[in-house]
Amino acid sequence: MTRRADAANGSLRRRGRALFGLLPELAKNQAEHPYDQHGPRPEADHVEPGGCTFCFNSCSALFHLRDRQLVRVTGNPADPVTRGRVCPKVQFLVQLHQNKRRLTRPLKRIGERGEGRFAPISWDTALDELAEKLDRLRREYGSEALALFLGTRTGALTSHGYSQVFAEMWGTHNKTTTDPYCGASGATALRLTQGFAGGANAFTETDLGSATFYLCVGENMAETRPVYFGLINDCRLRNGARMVTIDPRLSATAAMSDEWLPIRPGTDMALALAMLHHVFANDLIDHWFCETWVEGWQTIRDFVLERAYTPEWAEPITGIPASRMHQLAADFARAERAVIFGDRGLNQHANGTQTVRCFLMLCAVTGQYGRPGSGYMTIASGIPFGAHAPVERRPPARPGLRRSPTGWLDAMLTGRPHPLRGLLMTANPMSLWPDQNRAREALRSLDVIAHCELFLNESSAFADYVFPAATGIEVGDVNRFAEDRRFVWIDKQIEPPGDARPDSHFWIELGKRFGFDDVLKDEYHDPAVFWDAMMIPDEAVRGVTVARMRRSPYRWVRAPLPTEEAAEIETLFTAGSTYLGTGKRFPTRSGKLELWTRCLEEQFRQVGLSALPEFYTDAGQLMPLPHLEYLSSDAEEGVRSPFYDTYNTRGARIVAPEGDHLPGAFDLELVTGRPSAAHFHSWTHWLWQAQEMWPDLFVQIHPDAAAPRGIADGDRVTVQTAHGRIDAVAWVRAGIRRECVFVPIGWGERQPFHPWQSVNFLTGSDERCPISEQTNLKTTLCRVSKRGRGDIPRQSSGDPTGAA
Amino acid sequence: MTQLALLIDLQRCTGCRSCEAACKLENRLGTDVFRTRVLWLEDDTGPTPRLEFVKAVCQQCERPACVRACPVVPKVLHKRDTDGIVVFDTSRCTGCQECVKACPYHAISFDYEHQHIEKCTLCHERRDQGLEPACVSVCPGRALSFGPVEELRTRADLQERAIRDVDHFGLRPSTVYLEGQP
Repeated sequence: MTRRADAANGSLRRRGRALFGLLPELAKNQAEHPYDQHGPRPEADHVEPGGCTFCFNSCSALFHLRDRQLVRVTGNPADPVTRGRVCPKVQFLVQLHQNKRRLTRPLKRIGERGEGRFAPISWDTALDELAEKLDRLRREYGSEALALFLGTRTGALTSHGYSQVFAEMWGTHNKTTTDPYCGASGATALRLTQGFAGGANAFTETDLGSATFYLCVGENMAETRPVYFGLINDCRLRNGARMVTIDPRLSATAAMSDEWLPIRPGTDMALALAMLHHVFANDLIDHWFCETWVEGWQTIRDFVLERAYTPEWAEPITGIPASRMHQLAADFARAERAVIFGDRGLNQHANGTQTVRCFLMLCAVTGQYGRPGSGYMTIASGIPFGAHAPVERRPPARPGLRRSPTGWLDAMLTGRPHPLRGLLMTANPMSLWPDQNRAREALRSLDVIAHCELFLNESSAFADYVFPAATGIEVGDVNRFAEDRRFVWIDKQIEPPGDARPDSHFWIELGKRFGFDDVLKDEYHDPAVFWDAMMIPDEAVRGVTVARMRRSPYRWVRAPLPTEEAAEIETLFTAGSTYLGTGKRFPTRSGKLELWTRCLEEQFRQVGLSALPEFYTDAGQLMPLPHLEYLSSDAEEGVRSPFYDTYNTRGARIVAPEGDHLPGAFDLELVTGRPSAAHFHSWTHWLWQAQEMWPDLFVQIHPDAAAPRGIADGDRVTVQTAHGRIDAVAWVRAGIRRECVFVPIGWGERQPFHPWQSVNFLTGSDERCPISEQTNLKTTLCRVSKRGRGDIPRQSSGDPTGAA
Repeated sequence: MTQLALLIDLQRCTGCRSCEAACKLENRLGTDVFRTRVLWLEDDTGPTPRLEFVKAVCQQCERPACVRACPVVPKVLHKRDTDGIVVFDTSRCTGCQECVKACPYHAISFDYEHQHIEKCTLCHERRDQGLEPACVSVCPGRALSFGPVEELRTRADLQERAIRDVDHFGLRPSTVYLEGQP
């Protein structure tokens, strides 16, 4: 095709879309594109520093306001970390705060659960009715029959503050956040190894920017932390540092790296063990560091060598040539300063915690630890912050069923080991939770569900009461917590739409109806008062006051910070330093990095495993590999978790693969994950520009896998697993393992622009890491087939209320 | 005349599309209207597949095809003498889209709602206030910079960075693309 014809064709396509596609829909909803107006943009009369609340990166931002309306958001050039750089999401805040689809009044369900029909109701009546139902629930089934799920949208003040106090005073440990789907394995491994559940390094030129070797494993920083990756990549190029990325697909991060090594999903532990083997076998360890600062390294060395976890052993498992693993291990150990960035690609597996431990062992024995430019970084916050009710006001409660809500489904459906009949939730579990068919069945069976949210989403449809929430600068909030330990304060700048109210309003006012108001006081409607009074009792955050954060031109401060006047620490655990008041370099029992101790071994034994890193992976693999067999179901009590002592967990044992392991009906590996820098979970799908950038749910599939299935790029395909099936659009590309397909998270069938079913109809609920309780979301066997002609049925988001 | 231009570093662009967001926010563009787009270009031909991110944007050509194609009198588009930026006047645009078809870099889009073209002018209103173009100010990858084209080319030479030749059409584009990973 000639260039001209191509251009004309492109123009036609554009015109076609404008005439028949998105535009007529948007024309009906002018508010959807608030910028698209003639005349100059209203100039701001006021610029206020604050931060973005979309994801966990905690980027600072400047809010440009005119007449208390948000007109634009930019980065904050004063911020020494971001230098005023921002990703697309920060700029979408304008579309979040000026959004015609926002919920503006409370709703009460009038249709069947899941149907999504509602009638308007007042806040007071809704809270009264909800309180009455909760009271009945408690009398009939006990306080543990109520569960709380706090999604990412909610903000740290609510997830770690208001709702935590409510749960403690109510008497239930069945409360959790998205952590068991996100950072749990990494955080658990870090806590067990270094006594602190977060990264020790900082995104600065002098710390993480100064490394000479970067290993990104199960990590797509370029899309999940665009600003930090920009800094790291810039430093790397200027310093001539090498970056290698291990990932089943050629992610944006892999594309930017010097080398991409595709790996079989769920086998990163084998890679880490092979690298450890090379390091031990070739005596590349840092003897002085091991002798001085590492507990149990000899035990690990003997185990790895005795099991012969060589690169040659790992080659058929990982799919990475042994020679590359030898080289990688040598490069890592010999590097002057080496950093491992590891994330959900490691965490979201049945072996998540053990995998991260193995990479931590690698850092420890090579001495790549406790120095600027050396260490392991992951999205997790080890800084202990959060509010608690006074001990005497906490009624005794049974241990939480499981730390992951995935482990609550049996209790909801069968009443065993005890009934779970009510759910207070935020964000969008009906897109996020795995095994959606079962999860939805479970929610349908409950007696009472309340939902606090910004938009009427998939989860709202299951709620009896939907409360319109407010967020970010409508509320005043602390911006979650960055992995390099920064807290960003955000002042309230604008009013929420309609009768939307901060999440705090829900918890304080509901609490009043149960007599909690002497603890969840009226004055705590002011987030700054609540933060200072309740959220920072721990020594690590005592200095992180609102005044201290406000004093900074970029509104953030880095913890630990025992007093307001204390100096911020860029790199933790450096030689000669001690952690807070512990008097130890590492806040572990021994004061050293603990790779193996008797105490660890005892803890692991309680869940049927060993602290020694015996290789296993997820059960659904295309080749026979050792995996877990669980010692009980979620309908049984299980054992008390030695790692999270307010919860029970299931024990498990490692079993050898069956001899007749054959792929059977499912012949491809399904990997799920974040789609792009523009989306974060499901709430960005209500923002027109994020949807314009990444409209349709896609399946990345290798040409060699697509061709025999008759699938061409752009075709509608069906993906099916043992748990369910969904449709999506094929994106045929060679930048993925031949046996692997990738489908992103975040889509849902009630989204306004491009509704598709969540990928979590395909994931399972049974397989979880017994240590962190993190669910395997990254290795599920599936099959992909081309859909027949005709449109994909899409459930209309409709106008379910006539009210919203 | 001092020709102003963008510099796009292909070793640093991560394809995040933050520049698209900044551009639409600055220039108040709705759906389906773009002054810049980031393309994800996949190359599956070699032994190792590659993925590259390229910001498609007006090249501020020395011999702009769009200006030549514009049939309106006086022309909607013209190349400014002062800084070499190709600017446009929406009030004169008839919506014929000859320029959209003429631009081989797909850098001009058409706003069907308001019936006129849109293209990058390197945020000349921001520059009047002493600010960088919006896209340059936000870029997380630090892939974008802006200045007189000769300075940008000299800087590339000093850093021993190769400049990608994108002049396939004899239009003498000004935008400087620094080569990506070898």
